[in-house]
Amino acid sequence: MERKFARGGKTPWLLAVAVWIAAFGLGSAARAQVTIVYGDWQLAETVSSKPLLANIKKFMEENPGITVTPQPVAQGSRDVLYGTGIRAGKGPDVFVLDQQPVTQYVDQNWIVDLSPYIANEGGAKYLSDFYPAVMRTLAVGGKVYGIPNTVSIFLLFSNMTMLHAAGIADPPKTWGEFRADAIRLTKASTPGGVIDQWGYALPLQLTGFNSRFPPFLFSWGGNLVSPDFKHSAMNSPQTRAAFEFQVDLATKDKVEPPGTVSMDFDQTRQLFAQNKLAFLFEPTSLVPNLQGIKPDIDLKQIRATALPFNPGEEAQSHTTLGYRAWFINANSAHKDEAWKLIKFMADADQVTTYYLGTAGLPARISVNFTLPQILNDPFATESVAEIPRGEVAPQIRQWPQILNFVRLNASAAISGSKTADQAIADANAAIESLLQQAAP
Amino acid sequence: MEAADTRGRGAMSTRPARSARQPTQLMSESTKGMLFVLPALALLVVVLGFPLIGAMLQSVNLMWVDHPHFSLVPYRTLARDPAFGHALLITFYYVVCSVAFHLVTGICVALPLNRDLPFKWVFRVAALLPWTMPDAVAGMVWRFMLDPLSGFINSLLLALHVIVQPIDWLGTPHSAFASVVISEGWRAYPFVMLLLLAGLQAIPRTQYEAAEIDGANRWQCFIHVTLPNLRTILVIALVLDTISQCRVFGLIYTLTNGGPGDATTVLPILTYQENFQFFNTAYAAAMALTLAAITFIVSLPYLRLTMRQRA
Repeated sequence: MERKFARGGKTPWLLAVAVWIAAFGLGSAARAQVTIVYGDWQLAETVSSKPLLANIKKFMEENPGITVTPQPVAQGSRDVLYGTGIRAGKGPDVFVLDQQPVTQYVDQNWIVDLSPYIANEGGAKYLSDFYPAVMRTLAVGGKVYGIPNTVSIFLLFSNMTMLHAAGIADPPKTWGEFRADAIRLTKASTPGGVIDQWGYALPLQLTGFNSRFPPFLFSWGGNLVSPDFKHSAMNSPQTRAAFEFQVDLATKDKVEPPGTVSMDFDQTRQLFAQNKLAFLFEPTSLVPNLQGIKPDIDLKQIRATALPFNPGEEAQSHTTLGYRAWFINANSAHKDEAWKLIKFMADADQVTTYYLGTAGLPARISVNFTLPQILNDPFATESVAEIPRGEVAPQIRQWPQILNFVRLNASAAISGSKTADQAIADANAAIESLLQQAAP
Repeated sequence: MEAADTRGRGAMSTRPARSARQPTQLMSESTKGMLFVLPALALLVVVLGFPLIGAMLQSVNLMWVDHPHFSLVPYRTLARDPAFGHALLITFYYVVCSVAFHLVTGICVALPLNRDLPFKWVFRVAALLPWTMPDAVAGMVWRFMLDPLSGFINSLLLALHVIVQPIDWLGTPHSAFASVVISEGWRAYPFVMLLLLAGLQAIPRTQYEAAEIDGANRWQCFIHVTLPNLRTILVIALVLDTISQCRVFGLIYTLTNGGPGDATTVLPILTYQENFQFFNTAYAAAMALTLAAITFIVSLPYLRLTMRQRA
């Protein structure tokens, strides 16, 4: 009894010591563990989230002291969530933006100047592998605010199954050919039936129009603001012609399906995948999305070519160069760890993983010219070839509002509540007024 | 201890009227009332006062803006901004149409539900169902139904050969506006219907009997008995529904997002765009306060009516 008692007396002490060591060990580990939140709208998309999560997992394996919590967000709610969170002193530590709201985020002091971190990595040498046109827009007042992840060039995607069925051998090269082909492709699949195939669709919801109208406009040599960003360019002959062309396609030629006023890009992709829409303006990331919509889709029946041009203006024609880039929240308590994550994600290996999963063209020049999967992919090679002709949309804080004026007026003209002339005049007046308010 | 006891006993003996309830009796009725109201008042200050004052300061560029400084520019811009003027007009048209829709539908449904029908409760539950649906969900459901390519309404009309090509219900200004009014009318009429049903049930049966003895037909009973008795409840329903409709957001956001063009852009939608899409926070706050002021003015008849009744 006594021995038993003595043994029983030691056991709790040993247990207590073991528990204390375990607790001490765990406690110190918990103290060393840093958690950062990574916000990205592509985490909310089935196809794109897989390579992103794989890269995050790899990062955590290589950095056991850092836990990354992925935070998905719908693209349309992104700025609402981040803006509200950052104003309240919170928000994700690292997040992704496209080119549109970067100026606003810089203006509001919501993102961190990355120059000191970049200087530690080799400064200009580190940045030299990224496309200069993109880096120019990420550098504001001599400070660099973001590291680009992917670039996107808008191309004309043609559904060759539909084109061949209509007796059209190749995608159009000029806007005149485009119009004629779109008219020819708009028809009923059964004679005398309801029209169920259309030539083309410009989605007029925010998440379709804002990225698809500018490349179309640029390919006409038009713009919405003057080169000094001080005046509206809505009345320029090129912009007027481009706007009228869009309205005519919808109202006179009727080559667009009903409902484009309330469509976003996803709905037009659905129609394209179902052989109901022949032409789309899209970046290469369309391809995996089409495979997601229709797993047995024959990619050989889809061709990507440069946007059409107007005869005599081929040299001036261009498209938009878009990008996704990583930023660090000014409120982040773990900026060093956040930079570590960005540097890791921007590394060639992770960028390659991301490309293989999403077809999102890397922002690293070296990867685009060496990766066999890119060199052997007709969509990617066409995009890489077009990058020098791409131009990033004007980086002014009024740009989203300017696009909205044009979107509302295009929508009004297409829905018949205004003539194209009225819509152009109204958009011009609104843009001019907005830019004059901003003038010092 | 003894001294204290003595003091206490002495006090008891000299002033026998005072008891254990004495301290509360020292408090006046109004102070007691204030104490009871205080928690609710504190809650109101937190949930209403703080955001309201914050929005006021924001609208004059003093709070939650980049470079705080007093400025009335947001209010001056309101006066000149055609988008604001247009949204105000659309809001007015929308409120008039949707409130009229609610009142007419509400009374049309409330009248039969007030009668002694078999399975009356089933009809009452069915009539209430739309009200249980969140506005954003209702907007999405109607959007699916009105979709020109795959929507139920076009499919039905095409199958019945009523139309030969799909109609883009949300693609023209008038049809989009009508779609918004009908879908919100469907979703929110039960609120008005419930109020009117309560009013109908309070009308004494004897009044109808007296009217019938005087030879009044159903229509005359409705005009001369039902409507006069419902007058107060109609005013309350009208005012409360107007306030509710001035604030509509979720349904329009999910159904048309203010389009086509700006055909269905009501003030709350424009305020949202200015704040969250264009980052014009001070301007959005000025817009929101203007809407709040309009709503307050609209609510005055209701306040007057309820206060008069209480008096």
